[in-house]
Amino acid sequence: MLHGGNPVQHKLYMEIEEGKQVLRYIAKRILMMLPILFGITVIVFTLMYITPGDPAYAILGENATPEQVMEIHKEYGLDDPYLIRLGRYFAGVLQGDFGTSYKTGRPVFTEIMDRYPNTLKLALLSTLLGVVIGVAAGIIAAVKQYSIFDRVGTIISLFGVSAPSFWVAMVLVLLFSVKLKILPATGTYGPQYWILPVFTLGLQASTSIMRMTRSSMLEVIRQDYIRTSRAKGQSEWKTIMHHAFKNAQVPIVTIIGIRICGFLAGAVLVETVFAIPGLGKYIIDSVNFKDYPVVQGGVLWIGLNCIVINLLVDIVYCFIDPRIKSMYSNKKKAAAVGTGGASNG
Amino acid sequence: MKKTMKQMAALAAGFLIALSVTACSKTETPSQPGGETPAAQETDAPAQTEAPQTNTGYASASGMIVSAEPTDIKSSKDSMTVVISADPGSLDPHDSVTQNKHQSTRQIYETLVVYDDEGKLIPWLAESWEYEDDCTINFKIREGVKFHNGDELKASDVLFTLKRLVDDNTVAAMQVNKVDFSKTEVTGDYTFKLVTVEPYAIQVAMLENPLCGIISERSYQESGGDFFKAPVGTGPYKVVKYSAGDSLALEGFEDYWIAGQPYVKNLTLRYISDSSSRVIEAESGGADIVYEITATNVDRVRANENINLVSAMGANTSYLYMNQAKKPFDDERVREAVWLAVDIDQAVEVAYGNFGQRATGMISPGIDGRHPDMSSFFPARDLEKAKALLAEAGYPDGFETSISCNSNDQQRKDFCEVIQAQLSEVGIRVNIDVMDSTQWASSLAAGEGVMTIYGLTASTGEAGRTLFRWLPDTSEWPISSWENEEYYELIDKALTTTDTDTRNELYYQCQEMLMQNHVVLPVWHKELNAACQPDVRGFKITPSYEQHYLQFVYFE
Repeated sequence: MLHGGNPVQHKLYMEIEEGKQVLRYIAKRILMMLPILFGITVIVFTLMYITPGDPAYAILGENATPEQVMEIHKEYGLDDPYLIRLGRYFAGVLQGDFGTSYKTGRPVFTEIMDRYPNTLKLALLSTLLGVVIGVAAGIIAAVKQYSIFDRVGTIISLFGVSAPSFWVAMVLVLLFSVKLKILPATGTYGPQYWILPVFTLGLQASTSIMRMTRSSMLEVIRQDYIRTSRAKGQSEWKTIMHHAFKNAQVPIVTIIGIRICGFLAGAVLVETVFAIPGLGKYIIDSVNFKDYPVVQGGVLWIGLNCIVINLLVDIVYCFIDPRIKSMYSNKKKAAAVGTGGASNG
Repeated sequence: MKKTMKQMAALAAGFLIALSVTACSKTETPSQPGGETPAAQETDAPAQTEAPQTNTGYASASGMIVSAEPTDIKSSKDSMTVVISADPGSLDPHDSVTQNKHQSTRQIYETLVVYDDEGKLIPWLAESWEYEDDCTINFKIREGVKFHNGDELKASDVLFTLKRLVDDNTVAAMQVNKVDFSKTEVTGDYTFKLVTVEPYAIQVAMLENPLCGIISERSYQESGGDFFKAPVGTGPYKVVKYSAGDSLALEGFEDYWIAGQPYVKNLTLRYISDSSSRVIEAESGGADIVYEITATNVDRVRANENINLVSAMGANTSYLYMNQAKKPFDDERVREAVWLAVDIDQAVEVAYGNFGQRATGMISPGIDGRHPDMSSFFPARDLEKAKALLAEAGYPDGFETSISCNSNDQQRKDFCEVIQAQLSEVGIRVNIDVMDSTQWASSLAAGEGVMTIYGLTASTGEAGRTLFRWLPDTSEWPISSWENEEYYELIDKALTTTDTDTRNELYYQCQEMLMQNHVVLPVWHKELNAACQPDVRGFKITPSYEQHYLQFVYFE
């Protein structure tokens, strides 16, 4: 009301204000990333430091002589105290230098970037497949609660959550590559190579997404406004998709974000079975090899990715749920949202 | 409602059973539809179930696979995929001792000499060599050999390579640690003189190791020693593209010095660390040759009629180590009691099944200098005698000790568990310390190990390479901490003896000493293998360093 009596002008002003608030929030979140990344680095560095085992033996192999081991220690500064090594690592990272791999002598960043596209592709495609299957199945299961579809879906999703991914992967490979010989078993040399790994992880993702969609939808479907929508003669499709699903999206987006992060770091078993040169497997191999710079760089990179994905998820909330957007723009309103007062906007 | 639930349960159970049937049925021999049987299978593919084969057969007149003689072999296919268990990390042939690395790099770089099918050293890049005296070897380099950059191989490249091993502090430096570089010199475009600081019998054999792959001096200098930029050797294959952790694409070198080789022009090496996934590549026909079929899968692959499993005894033997620097293993009676209390046959059966063989000597079969018969040195299991020895040594009720093993090696873990059970029968309580590979190697080298199972490879194809590991300046010495001047002198004498028969006699004595003093108990000889598609010919296991030559492989 303060800005002239024109409601259109007022609305525009409010929107600009809200936009600014959202941007400010994003900037704040980006700044908050720094201490998190610092923490990740210190923790990973310390863990690698205190784990027993000498990288010199990994580099030199079983025939290393004591002199060669000493030489390697000198070359990589492995005998220096903890704080000096940590400081040296930070100094490098701040200049964009993540160090060089002990195993290959190549820059860690190059090594990571060789593998990252495979991991990202696998994570995104699997999540996409999971969303398509999971959301559709979840909506149907919720709408037709206690129907055969709901029960079969629930059992399959229970199976999907409990079946280990490497086992599903092996079964798929034995069936489609060894028995039927219609899909390649391992590698990443063309679209057909991605079908089995994406299906393995996608299936896994779809089960949790389905369960989340189902429970979130069930909650919304019981609300009064859905009954109102039906009562006023709105078509069932419109009622479900426009009124119910729209309000059930927030938890679904949350679980999608969690899944992508999980796949970026945790697709190790699937990467191993399908011989996909991905980041997760590379980090595990590097842990065994005591390739400290690679482990540190790799974990830092995945950490950065997860923070960015979480930020994106938060931004998406603003677009799908006006209540959350208004939280950023008005603290008083936010408090009201907290008590459920603004739920009907 | 109840009925629906029952139906659901039945449906779910059916689904699970169907999946598990699919998962398990592979262990049976698949019934192959007639149309899919490869043609070569019907003609003359060697039988799989008989005695293990060491190669895939060969069409040349000489019958020898590893040979520099040109042949008129033509391959029916011009590309081949080979699966290896680990990627080389870098394309520098000198920076790592792991055999897996050289399975890649040996196709790009070559050595002065190689072992032929019968384990005899034959000229390769070196056309000939002769001893001027006990410490001086005159090498003549083959003329007309080209590097991948177009330069001709000169003696100066060879000397540059050997010096580089030391100058860059590479792990390959040990291959030339007896070379006196102040006296070693180039004597012509194609000749050079190699001088050792003392007579060193295995110097030429040392140069066979792929760690001594010859590189181009010019390419090295121009790239600043960056082998990713300039992986230039004289080998049959040159690098097209290296994808770290995934694959190495190679292409036949058109100016290769043996006419007509390599027979298969395009070679892709794929790196798959998971042993089950490697087997699947063989079973699904995705790869032509798959290296390292592990103990858990070997029976399944042998039973598969569509795969040709080629195997050979390797050069690696595993031993039961007891660290004499740790009580009570400083007492020989205790070590002997342990030997008497364990049943190695049973442990090998449990851990390895039909893979490899129970050790019959200190050195693997087929290695030059292996003792002809050590059977009398292996004790029969005798628990009463073991208990008596323990009592005599002051441990009538046994004692508590530990055995360490590498977490990546399931077979050795199983082995340790069997030993643990067997030793408990005489009151020795063993704790198993499972560590990751690097931690394990570091703790052993630091002398922290108590008992362990550890393998040594006679990578020069002769016994000296294994036997010198009980010298105090090696990283393996602290695993047993065995102090014995007599042994040190004996092995030193053997290594400086150039006459083969005399040297082998000394090697036999060394092997007897190790057994008589209960230093290490040999338990298992490693087997090397590869699964080949039935049309693969000319493939042979290379036991010495497991590098396996691919230039001789062709498709029938």
